[in-house]
Amino acid sequence: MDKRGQTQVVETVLLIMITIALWTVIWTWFYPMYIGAIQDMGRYLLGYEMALKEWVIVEYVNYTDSTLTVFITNTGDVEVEIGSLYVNDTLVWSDVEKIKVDEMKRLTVSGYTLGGEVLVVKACSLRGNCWQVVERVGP
Amino acid sequence: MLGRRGQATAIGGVFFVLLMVALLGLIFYQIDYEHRFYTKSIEVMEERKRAYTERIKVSENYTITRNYAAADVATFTVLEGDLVSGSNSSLNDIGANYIIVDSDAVFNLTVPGGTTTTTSEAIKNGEFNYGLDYWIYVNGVGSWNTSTYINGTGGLDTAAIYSTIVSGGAVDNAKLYQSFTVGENLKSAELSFNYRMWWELCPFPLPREYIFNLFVFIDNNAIGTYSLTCNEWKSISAIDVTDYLTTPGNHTLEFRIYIYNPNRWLSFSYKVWIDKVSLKLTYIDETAEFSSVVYGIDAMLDLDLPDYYNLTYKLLTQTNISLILDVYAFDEENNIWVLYDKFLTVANEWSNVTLDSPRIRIYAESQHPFRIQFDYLYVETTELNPNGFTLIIENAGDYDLEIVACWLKNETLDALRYEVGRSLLPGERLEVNIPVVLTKGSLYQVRVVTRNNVFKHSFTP
Repeated sequence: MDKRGQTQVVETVLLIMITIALWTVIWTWFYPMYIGAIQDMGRYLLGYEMALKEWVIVEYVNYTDSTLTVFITNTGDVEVEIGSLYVNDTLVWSDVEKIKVDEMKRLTVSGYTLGGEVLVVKACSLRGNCWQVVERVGP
Repeated sequence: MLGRRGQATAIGGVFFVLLMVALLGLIFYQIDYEHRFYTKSIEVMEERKRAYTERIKVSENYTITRNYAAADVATFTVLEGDLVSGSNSSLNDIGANYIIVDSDAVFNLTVPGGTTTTTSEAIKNGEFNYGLDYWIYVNGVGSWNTSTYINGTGGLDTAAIYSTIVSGGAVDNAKLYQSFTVGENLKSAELSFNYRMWWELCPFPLPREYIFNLFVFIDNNAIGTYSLTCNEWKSISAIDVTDYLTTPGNHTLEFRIYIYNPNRWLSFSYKVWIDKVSLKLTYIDETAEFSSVVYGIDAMLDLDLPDYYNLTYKLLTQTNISLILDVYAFDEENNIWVLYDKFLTVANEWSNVTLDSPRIRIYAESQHPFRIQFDYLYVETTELNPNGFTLIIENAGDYDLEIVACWLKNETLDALRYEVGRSLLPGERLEVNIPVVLTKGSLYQVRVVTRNNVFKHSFTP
């Protein structure tokens, strides 16, 4: 190989190395964003799946001595976190109550004054699902 | 080696390939993500659809069946008749001991003799609605027939008619008669009929020499003679002919027409109508004195039972003659015995008198003395179960479902929850025993909780 040929090989190798280096720089900048986007989509999908698998049954609503008790059973496939309770579209309870699968829990609202005999009771989970029942209760 | 352009193309190509790989990766991941997203959504929607089509049937059974020994609950009393043997305990078992009751004479019935009268019609087809049936007629120059005419109320009637043309110096005779039978003890007989007699020159009356007569005979005894009426119908009513019919047997009622036309040259047309011929025969019937003794048994059965929903009992009974047993049940509300049922017994055969009222009277009567034997009383009641009740849940939907729990509540009872945790296939039934003693007449509310719904049901035991 003569001198000219050696130079061309070196040039080519250098150019490839520079190209790969540049691509590496670009990839280093792009990859975290790419991975982040994929993880966000995965998390969203998981959250969506979890929300779809949530299901509770408001079994019974009792009112005695100014106390409203709502019996809720988790009949879904995932643990539910009840975050709020509405009666006739008014927030009467707000907290976090975890209910495991197949578990029944009673949410108690003390000092509740009965406005009417028919109550629209709505329980909402932290994942955004709500379940509503209409109940006739006695004072 | 490569030129400058070739190097640039190669580098660009590498960039392009790397970029495309990255983009395609992202696109494929996005497609996979969307696919999983929609798959999950559809799965959940399918599951929810099943939830919304869940259907169950809820019913309850809160009764039990109980049997009682007769001696513990029944009181047997003879109100009419003689108690020969037996007591309440005789009804406990089949055979051996019977309650035997003989009848008493409950009243003597005497009906005095007397007389009654009956009236019958002796003449058949007196209205001539069946032509000249039952009548025998003899034609003269003319002939007998039937014809319709407009009666006094504007309706059509049928009458027998004799129509003839009698030539100058000629005589015409015709007869219409019917035989009838008179029985014994005739009290009275009354003849009635309507007639009309017409000749061609009506309304002119018949001249002196002309004869146009209708004679009525019973057994050749002249009852009456009738003549020209022209266009007018005449009614002959209630002629007493009793004296002609004193002998029982066959007699004859006869209408005879006699016409004589003395005119030597002219012929005249004559017509006679007869209708509504009636012979009422009234007889005296004598009835003899009648007397009879009536025997009867009146027995009362009173059952003292706890509160029940349904009662069935059978009283094994035998009578020595065939009898009609009248069973009366006591109507507590109106304080009166009401006829409940009737049974016809077969003599000397055991039969079950089936009843469902706790207080009954069995009454029977006959013209002959008789005996009734009572052997065994079977008592069965349906009562409120004192130990609780059974909730019956049936999956009436098209998919299997899981029963999570049941709730029970009424106005005096705090809501009670019973964990169930059972899956039900379509059409399958589940019986849940709930150990709560129910109160009769109180409203109970039941909730059946499935994994997706709460079903409500109420009942009043």
